[in-house]
Amino acid sequence: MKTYWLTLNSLLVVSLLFFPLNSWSEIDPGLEADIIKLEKKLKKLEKKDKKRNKSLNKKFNRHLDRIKFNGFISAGIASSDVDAEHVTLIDDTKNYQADAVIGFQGTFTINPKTQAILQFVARGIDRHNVEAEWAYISHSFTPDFTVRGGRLRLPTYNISEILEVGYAYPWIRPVPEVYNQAPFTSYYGVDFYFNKPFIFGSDILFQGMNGTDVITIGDITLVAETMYGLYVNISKGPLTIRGGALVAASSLDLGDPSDLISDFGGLLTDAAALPPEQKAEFDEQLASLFTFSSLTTEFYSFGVLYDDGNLFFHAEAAKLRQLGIIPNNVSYYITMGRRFNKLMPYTIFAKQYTIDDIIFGKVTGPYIAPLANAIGFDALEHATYSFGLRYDIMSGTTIKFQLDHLTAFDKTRGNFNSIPGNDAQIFTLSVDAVF
Amino acid sequence: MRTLTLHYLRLLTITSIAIFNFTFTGYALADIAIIVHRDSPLANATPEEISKIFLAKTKTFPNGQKIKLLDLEEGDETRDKFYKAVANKTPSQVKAYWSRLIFTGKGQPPQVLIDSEEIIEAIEEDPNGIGYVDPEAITDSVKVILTIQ
Repeated sequence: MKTYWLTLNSLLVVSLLFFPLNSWSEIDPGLEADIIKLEKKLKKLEKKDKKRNKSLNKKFNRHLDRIKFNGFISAGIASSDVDAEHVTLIDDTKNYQADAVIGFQGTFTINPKTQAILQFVARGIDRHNVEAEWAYISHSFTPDFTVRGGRLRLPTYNISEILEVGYAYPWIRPVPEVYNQAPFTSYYGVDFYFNKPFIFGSDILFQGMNGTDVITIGDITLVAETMYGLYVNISKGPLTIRGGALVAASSLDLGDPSDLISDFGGLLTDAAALPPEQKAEFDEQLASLFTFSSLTTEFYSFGVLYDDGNLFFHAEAAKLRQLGIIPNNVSYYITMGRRFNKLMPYTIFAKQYTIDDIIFGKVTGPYIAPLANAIGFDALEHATYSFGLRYDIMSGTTIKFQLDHLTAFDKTRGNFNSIPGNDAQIFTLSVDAVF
Repeated sequence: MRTLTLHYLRLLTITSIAIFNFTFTGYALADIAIIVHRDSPLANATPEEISKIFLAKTKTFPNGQKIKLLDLEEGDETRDKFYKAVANKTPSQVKAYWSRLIFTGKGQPPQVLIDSEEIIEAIEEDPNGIGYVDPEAITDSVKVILTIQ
């Protein structure tokens, strides 16, 4: 009986094991062909779907490529060891505003040759009031020839068009001796740039502009009625040589004369003590201050820039020539640095001086200084020795430290609003980022 | 003793060959191929020319067509090696360089793709494309105009 049950059980197990195989082997060959056909169809549909998704992605990316947003930000702390205020607004208090800036740019591609660009900048020194520094439409007639119109940046010096983008240059801020000379940094108008291969494997870039702008300093309004500029860059490998000129015909509105008269009251008291010859010259210049209505200003700049990736050297010189009673200035800087992977120590030597013996610059007193300084009529002279370190924390973020030693003022206020003494130091620590 | 010395010398030679081969293979793997479309008029290029192209100083091919730059993502090892080799620039320097072009409205950085395969695919579809890839990924549809280490 036991043997019988065992045999029956074994037969049952074997039949169960073979049942599925038997059932499959019994499938209709027509049905199998249908399944293969369906599988092929499914694969085809999957492929089609993948292709469609790819095409949709491409279309989406193409639309996305037409609008780009970029930004930059800087935050820093600065202080000096003198109570006189520097042109950057730094004095002996902790200053978080001088180097604080945030910018946001939208680039809109209208068609492959036409773009609209809008760049808003908010600076700490303006309590982060937002200003449109760039707002223009550009059209590239060829890949090498572009015309732009709207609100643009003046290309006066090497980095004049990126003054606030701290990440893009080695120092804490553009060297004030050169970059603070021109009262205008932006303008309304048109420009063009044209790039083409030049001799000995070099490239040449021409940038020309025409425009107008208005700036106000207190009660004084300076109107650049027309500005023309032409700049040329020749570059080969790590070397770039640039030079150019800008001519501006401006008018100056000194505001309410009654306010000025009280200031001039003090000025006249100071001037009364001058020797007769100087007094006569002073009277002549004072008279011309009230009579002139137009002013021609010329900026000339020349620069040699070298950057091979490890070593960099920049030298730029600028001359401000004003055909009026305002003094003419010359300024220059020489800077060099060496990159050690993420760390870059650098030095700067900068100098600024007035080339005319203007009487306003030599008159001192409680009234002349604020007035003359506000208009920029006084002679200036000083030299700055700087040492700095830049450390790239990561791609897109950098930290910088800079120490400036300002000296050789020759009895002028240099780049301060009043005479700071024999010398002054400015310490700055900043973080710059682009995104 | 002599046999032992011979064995030792043989072992030393084999080890040296192995080290040499390993090093050689290592360099071979580190190669970067700069590629264009099979039908591109550009047959070859120098590192200086490639540097000018990838820094947007040269914007057109010899036939006048506008160059379409294809780049790898930031942080990609091949990308870092590529810019160091052709332009002697670190990733931060490349970023600073493009910042200058972006914020003056004079340029936008290249289109970024994930890997060599994507770059090759993009060049297959766009005859004006140029990119740098791992040589092992190269197909017949593209042309190598420069190989750098």
